[in-house]
Parts: sequence; C-alpha cells; structure tokens
Amino acid sequence: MNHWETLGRCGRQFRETLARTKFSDFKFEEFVSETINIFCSASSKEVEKLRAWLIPSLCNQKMAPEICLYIVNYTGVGKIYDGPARVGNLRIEELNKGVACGFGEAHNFAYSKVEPKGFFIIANPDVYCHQSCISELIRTRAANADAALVEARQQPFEHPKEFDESTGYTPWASGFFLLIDSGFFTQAGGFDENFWMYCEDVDLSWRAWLNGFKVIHCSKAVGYHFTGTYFEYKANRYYLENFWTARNFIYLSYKFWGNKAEKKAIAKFLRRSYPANFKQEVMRSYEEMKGNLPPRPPLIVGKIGRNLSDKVKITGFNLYHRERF
Amino acid sequence: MGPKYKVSLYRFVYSGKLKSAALESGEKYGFGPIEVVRGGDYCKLINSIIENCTSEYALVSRGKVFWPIGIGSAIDSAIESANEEFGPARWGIVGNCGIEFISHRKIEYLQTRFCKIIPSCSGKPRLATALDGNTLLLNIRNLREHSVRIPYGLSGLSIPGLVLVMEGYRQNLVSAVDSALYVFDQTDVDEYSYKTESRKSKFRKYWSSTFLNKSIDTVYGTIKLDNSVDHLKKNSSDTRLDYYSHVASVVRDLYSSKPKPVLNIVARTRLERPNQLRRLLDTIRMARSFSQDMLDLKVVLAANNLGQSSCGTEWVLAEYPEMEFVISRENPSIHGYPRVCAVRSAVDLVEEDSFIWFVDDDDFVYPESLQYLPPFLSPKTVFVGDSAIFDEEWSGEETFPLKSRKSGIYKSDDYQECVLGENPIPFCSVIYPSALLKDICSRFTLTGDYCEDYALFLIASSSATVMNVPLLIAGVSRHGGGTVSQKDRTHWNYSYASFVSEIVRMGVFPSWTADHLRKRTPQKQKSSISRRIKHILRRLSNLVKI
Repeated sequence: MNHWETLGRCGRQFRETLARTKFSDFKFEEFVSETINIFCSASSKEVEKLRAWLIPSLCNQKMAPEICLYIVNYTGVGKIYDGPARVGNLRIEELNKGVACGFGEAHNFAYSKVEPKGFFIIANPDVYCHQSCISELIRTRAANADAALVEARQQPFEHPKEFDESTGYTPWASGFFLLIDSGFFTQAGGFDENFWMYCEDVDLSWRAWLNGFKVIHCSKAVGYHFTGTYFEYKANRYYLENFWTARNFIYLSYKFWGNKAEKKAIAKFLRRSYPANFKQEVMRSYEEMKGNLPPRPPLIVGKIGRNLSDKVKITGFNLYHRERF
Repeated sequence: MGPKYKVSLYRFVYSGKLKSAALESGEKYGFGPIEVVRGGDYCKLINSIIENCTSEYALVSRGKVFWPIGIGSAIDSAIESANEEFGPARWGIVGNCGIEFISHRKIEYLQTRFCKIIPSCSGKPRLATALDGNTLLLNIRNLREHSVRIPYGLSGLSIPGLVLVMEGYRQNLVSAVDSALYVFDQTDVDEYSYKTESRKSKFRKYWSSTFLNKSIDTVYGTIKLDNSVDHLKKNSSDTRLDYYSHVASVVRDLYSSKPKPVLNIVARTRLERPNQLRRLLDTIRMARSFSQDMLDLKVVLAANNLGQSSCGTEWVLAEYPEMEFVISRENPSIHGYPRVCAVRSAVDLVEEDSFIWFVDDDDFVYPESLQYLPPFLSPKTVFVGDSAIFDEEWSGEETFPLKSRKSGIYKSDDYQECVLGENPIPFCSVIYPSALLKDICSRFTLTGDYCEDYALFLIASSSATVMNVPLLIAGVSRHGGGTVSQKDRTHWNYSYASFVSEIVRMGVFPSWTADHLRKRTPQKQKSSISRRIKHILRRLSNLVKI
C-alpha cells in the first residue's frame, strides 16, 4: 500500500482494519518465546561498530530465546559481514537488495523478505543495548494495545525531546532502537522511501498518531548511543545528516501541511547559514524528488489542528518537539 | 662526536643579504655545508630536494630563521624520536610548529617576532595535520618511496608545510611536531599572506578535487572553502577524502601495528552502587571491543570506604566474563584515609610501564575516544582530556538514572588553573603513567581525605609534561548530596590544607611560578555582592526579631 494513501484515511477506519488483524491480542509471554527479528541497515563503514557493540549486546539480552539480526547492506554491493552466522542465541543474516538504497527502503526490503510476525525492531549499528532493553520494549508494547511504535531510551545523552512521564507518549520515536508493530507497518505501507535517509522515523510516527495509534517512549529500555551529533561531527565538513535533514524538513512540511508550509520551510532553510552551493544542492534534491511524487491528497491539516497539534508539529528548523531541557 | 644521521641542510632566502648571512653561518657556527637558494618558489625547491637530495634526511628552513648552534644533535634527536614513535618507515615530515591531531590546536616550539613565550618540551613527537614551513625535517627516503610531492602548479611560501603533510597522509606517512627542532624565527609570514596563497585558484582546485572538507585548520587560522557537496547526494560516487577522518585512520593503522600500551582503568567503588558500576562496566566493555587492537585495557576495582550497605559485587562482575578484574581492598590502618588508600593500593597493583586512569563508579567512559589515546600516552607525560558533567537523578532500584542531563564540560584547557588553588580537572579526566604515580606515592605521605585527585595532579604536572587534549573521555555524574555540594566544608578544608601543606613543604613549584602569578593577577580581598546581601539580610532578620 502506498503511504500517501494511508495519509488520507480517517483514524477510525484504519484502527478497525488493524483490529481485524488481532492487533490487540499482543501478549508478552507469547512474544518472548518466539524469534525476535531485528533489522539493521549498514555498510562496510559501520560493520566494525556493529560487531563491537550491537552484536555482543544482543547476545546478552534477557528473556529473548532467539534473536535474528538481519544486516541490510544498503550499498547493494558485495558482502559486508563476514563474522559467524550464530553467536549464542543470536542468528545473523545479511540481506542485499542488489541496489543502493536509503534507510527506509532498506528496512522495507528486509520487512518484505522476513515478514515478521507481531513486531520487529530496527536498530542502528552503533547501539549497545542494555540486557533488558528488548524485554522492556516488548513489555511496554504488550501493555499498550494501540501502540504502533515503542522507542528505547538513549543513554548517556538522553534525547532532549519531550515525552509524557506517566504514559510515555511522545511526538515521534527515534529509529536508533525502535520496536514497530508489524500490523501497523503493513497497513501504513512501510517507511516512506522518498526520505532516503533521516526523518523517516518522524514521518512514520506522525502517521501512527494521525491514524489513532500511540507512539511511546520506554524509559526502562535503554540503549547506549554515542551519536554523531554529540561526539563525532566536526565543523570542518558537512555530513549526510546536515543535508538530508534539511531536505526532509521541507518534505515533511509539504507532506503534512501542503504548499504554504512548504514555502515557509524553504524560507526557513534559506535563512540558515549554509553556503550557497549547499542550499542549491538541497533544493535541487528536493525538487527532483517532488517531481516524482503522486498528487498530494487534500487532508491532514484539519485533523492535526483538532486533536493532535501537540504531537504532529514543527517547532523550528528540523525540530519536531519541545525540548525537555 | 658528530651527528649520527646524514642530513643535508637547505635554506630558502629572498635577499642577497640573507643568503650571505646564511652561508656564513654554516662556517661560523659549525652547521656544515648549507645549500642556500635565493628567490624562486619554495614549493619547487622542496620538490627538487625530495627528488635530488643525496642524504636520507634533509632539513629545510625558509626566511630569517636562526638555528641553534649544534643543530645536528637536535636533528638526530628528532629523527630518533620519530623513528621510535612511528617506526622509520612511517613518517614523512617533522616540524616545530603545526596543528595537532585531534585537538586541532596550534602547537609551536619556536619563538617568532609575534610570540616570544619560551615553549615547553613536547615530550615526544606530536602528530600534526598541518605544519608551518619555517623549518621542515624531510624523511627523503620515505617521501621518495611513497611518491610524495607538492602537486604541480601550487606555489607560495606558506602552503608547502600544509600541502606536503596532506600528501604525506594520502600516502600513509604521518607528520609531527617536535620541540627538538626549536628555532628562533624572524620571518614576516603572516596570516594575510597565508590567506592570499590559499585563495589562489590552483590551491582551491587541488583542495576541492582531493578533499570534501569545507574548512581546514592551519597555523595561521582556518581556511574556508565553498567545497562541493557531491558526497552527500543520493547514490554518490564521490571518492574524495574527509581529510581528518583519513588522518585518523592512518594513525589508527599505525598504532594498531605497534605494541599495545596497557591502560588500567581503576574504578573506585564503595560497592554500594551496583547500577552505576554496571553502567561504567558497560561503557568499558564498549571501549574495549572497539579499541582492542590499540590498547590493552585492564580493570582494577579499588574498593574503598566500605560501609554497612556495601554489598558483594560478584553478581555484577559475573555479567562481564570477558573482563579480568583485579580487586584491591584498602587497608586504612596502613594507608590512612580511604580515598588515598584506594589510590595507593591500586598503584601498588599495576605494572610499572603501564598507565592508570582513575574513575569513580558513577562515572563512565566514552568508548570511541579510547582509540585516539595511544598517540598521546607516554611514560613522560600526564594526559588530560575533557569530561562531560551530567546532572542526574538516581533512585535505588532503577538500573538507570531517572533523569540525566548534560550540563557542562570540564575542559582540559583549564588545567593550569590548578596552580591558583582551584581544581578544574576531575580525577577521571587524567591518565597517569604508572611509574610516575608509584614515584609520587613513595615520596609523598599524601595525608588527607578529599582533594587527593587535586594533590596528585599538582605534583604530577610539576614533574612531567602535561598533554592536554580537548578529547571527551569520560562522563561525570552529579547526583545526590556528594562531597562537592556539601555545605559544611570543614573536613574538606582540613584535607585541602594537609595536601597543599605537603606540596609547599616539598617545594613542588619553583618560586618564580607564584611570583609571576602574583604579578599578573594581584590577589585582592574579595567581598562579593552575595556576601554583602547576606550580611544585610542577617542584620534585617535580627531587627525583625527585636
């Protein structure tokens, strides 16, 4: 299903469809006895961290009988993982679509290949998850029948975005370590591949909220994530994150609020202190992508205005939340 | 005894007067034969030296540079240090002024007409990403074997030091700065001429076709370029290098082929905080798995000040079977105060030629930073890094803090403040050579409780080179009512007085340090506004009572 179509549906209709898939029958005990599927999109550059951090931490998970880690080689070329296919309870498989693909496309491909039952998890290669991380995510999902996305908590640098301390509700869930309900993912048409990389997690979260589902931050599920923004990025170059978050900020604005918001977003972006050639390339990339989009369904704005303005919102350039601190 | 290595000496000058002075100096000060080139292009001269020099090494200086008498032995020392540190086949150029690897800071071991501060000793060659061209020691054999040249068309007096270093790294040869090559430089090369040369279209073309960076740090400031962003596009086939990542990978490759230094992470613990300890061990595990080809990490648990609530740690330690724990238990009856006692017993346990990094059990380490440490570790230097401060809320049962917010950074650059009676450097920001600490522990009684980290750093920094690098290596947790936030400072003050008393009695600092500081920053009796307000409020409250 095209994700643009799911945008146009009303929440109740969408919920009913999912109810038919026994979405609410989710039981913690059932899922901890089944194989847990984890997708991780990576290239040869990230494999070192994946081997050093993610894989050992998955081997140490409590209450997980078998975990299957699918490494999606997003470059589409060759093989990137040459380690053992099984480490303890962890099975490791490499998937390759044969063409270079972005973050969303890589996960959509893995999803279509594996067809995970109940739920699956997406993980960054540079995450080290605490031993109770997965079981806590599942527990939270089990306790919230209408949760589509449950995100782990980042340590030691907590993400500054807001969440409700009693319910865990949050405007969007970060894809660094995220449980996604399979039923929801199928019905939602997966990740929007137009993003290529960055912000597709914001888009998926908003689509969940708009269709009556919950996006939950689980404080007890912890993953150590020493993110590039805080630790690695240097001022002497531009990173993929600089480029694609800027481009996708404009796309998100257009996708959910239409032409006026797009104009505003472009103006906001052009006011940034990026050099002229950077701005040109971002705009060129956006225009190119927009030229291939189907007609945008006339929707959303009213719905957001009524009920969900505290969840689906843009609070600044590339900011989709209020900051907790 | 003459110089050990065969080195050809070159001078590049731009006036006849300088040429004759340079030629004369060869005889007068015993430098030996010097080839003096007047005018032309410095880049071309360097290329021609690399191609035609008959010695294995060449020292080339430009402009009005004054070499020290007996520079031969200084050059020998620089070559030997570089060979020892990097291996004879892995280095290309050594200079006396440049931009340091990782810190991006200018380090200079020379005096110029603009800066006459007498430089300190570098301790060992310090890796550089750019060099100043005033004096360059070229490893001719390596540069020739790796075909390192300044690309055709580039010219100028200032950029050869930069471009040659870049070309060296592209061919896996490192460059460094060494205080052995100290000179007195009176040449008029300034930021303006540097920027003029870097604005030339040929340099920009070279830059944008080779590297994807938008700026580069040089000894005369940062050069900015509107470089293409092709590497960010969808399915990009851009093969240009990120210069700094490439340098890091060359350095990593070099140090992973060397013997691994042993780094003992000494975790001081009262065995009361298993959750905090687990976080620390988790981050050590991450660090270990990512830097195991460069560092041999060992973990020492220094159990101190055990109280009623102390628990066994076996159940936590069992979760880390790959780590070998050495548990040192204090004996206060022998060693005195528990915090010093934990330090002493850990220092006794570790090997002489290793390094010690003290952390408290509620701190944590930054796993990725450890891969950058080996170039900075040396038996003669005390390493000081940055630490992030986290304001946290912990509850007894929770595995993780309820809240954790980064509120600041203890900057390594502030380490000099310690001589003013302040302690800006937490214990976990410093890595000591074990031999140095063993020596300190044997010579000093170190009587006191709190401030032991301050005392150790003061003593160590006065007897070894301090290498302060703005590299985030640890996180410091601030939570609960710890000693730092205690209102009653009596016990703290007695400790402080005891430690400093010993430092004063032992004459750790030369007299001119204090004299110089007093002259520069007169110590005034401060009467802060808050103190005055408090005084007024106290008087007012007394009046109200009456």
